[in-house]
Amino acid sequence: MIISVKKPDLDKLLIRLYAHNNMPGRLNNKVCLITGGASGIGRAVTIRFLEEGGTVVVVDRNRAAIKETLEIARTVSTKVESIEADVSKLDQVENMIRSTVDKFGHLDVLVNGAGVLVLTQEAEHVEEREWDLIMNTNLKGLFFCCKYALPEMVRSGGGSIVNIASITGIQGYSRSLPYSVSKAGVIHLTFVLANQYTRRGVRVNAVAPGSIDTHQARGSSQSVGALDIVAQNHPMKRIGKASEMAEVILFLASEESSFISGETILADGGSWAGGGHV
Amino acid sequence: MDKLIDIVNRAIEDYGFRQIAQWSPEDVVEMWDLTNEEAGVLTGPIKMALDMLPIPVEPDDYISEKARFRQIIDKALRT
Repeated sequence: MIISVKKPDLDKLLIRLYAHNNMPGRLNNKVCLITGGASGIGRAVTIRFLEEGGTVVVVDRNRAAIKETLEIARTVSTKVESIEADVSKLDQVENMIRSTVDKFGHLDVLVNGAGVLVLTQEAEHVEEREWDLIMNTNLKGLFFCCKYALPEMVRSGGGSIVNIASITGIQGYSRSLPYSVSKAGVIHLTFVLANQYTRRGVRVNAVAPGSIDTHQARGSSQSVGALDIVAQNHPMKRIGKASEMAEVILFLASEESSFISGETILADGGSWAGGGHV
Repeated sequence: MDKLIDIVNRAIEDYGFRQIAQWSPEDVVEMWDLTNEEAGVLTGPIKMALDMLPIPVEPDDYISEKARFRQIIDKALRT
C-alpha cells in the first residue's frame, strides 16, 4: 500500500522525525554519578547529561570547582547534586555510592572521570610516592567506584559504566610512566569488568581521549604556547574539546550503545592513526 | 622547611601535583611525613597562594615564583 502524503504534511512529518532524533532525553529517569565531574571533561559530561534529562551527582575533591560547576549546571537543570569525595579513599567511595542510592533509589550510570597527571622523570628516578599518588586515584580509586557501583546496578536491573582512560594508556607517555600505566590499567579493567558483569546487565566501556583542551592539559603542558604546537602537528590541526568527549561518553552511557560492552573508544581525532603524539 | 620547599617547587612546575597539594593535602602530609606545623602551613598560606597561580606557570617564572613561595613559608613558620 502506498500512502500519499501532501507536501505540507510531509514537511511536518520530517520536522517531527528530526525533532525526535535530536530531542533531549536520552538519560531521562537515569541517575548518573560522575567522578571528577567538576572540571575538564567531567564538567562537560555533567552539563551534557543534564541536557539529556539525567539526574547528575557530581563527585569531586575540588570544592571550588564543584561550586563553580553547580552554578553553571543549574542554568541547565536543577537535577544536579554534588558530593565532595576523594575516590582514592575506600570509605568515601562507599559513602558516595550509598548516599546516592539512598537518595534516588538506584544508580544507572557511572562515569569514572577522576584522575591526576603528575609528571615524572625516567623510570629509575620515579619516586614511590609519585607512583602511589597517581595509581591511588587513577586506577585504585576507579576500581573502588566500580566495586561499589556494580552491585547497586545489578540490583536495580542493569546500568552503564564509562571509564575515562587516555591515549597514553595505548601508546605510552614518556613524561609520566605511572600515568600511562594507570590508564593502560583502566583499559584492561574495563575489559575484565565487562567480562564479569555484562551478563548481569551492566555494560562497561571506556573512552581514551587524545589531547583535549582542559586545565589539566594546559597545566601539564608547562607553557601556554605548548598546546598550540601540539595542535599544529595534529592531523586535524587542532586538539579536541571536552564537549566532544562528552558526546562519546553520552553515547556509551545511553541506550544508543546498547550492544556495546568491553570496548574502549579511542577519541583522538586520528592522532594515533596518523602516527602523531599526544 | 625543606620538605615544604620541595612540595611547592613541584606544585609550581607541575599542575597535576599542584591539584593534589590543593585538594588532597592529607596525602601529601602523609607521604612527605610533615609535622603538624608544616601541615598547617601547607593547608593554610601555601594553599591560598597555590589557588592564585596561573595555569600553567611559565618556565620563565619558576625562579621568581619559587622565591615568593619560600618567603611565604619562611614567614608562616616564624609566626
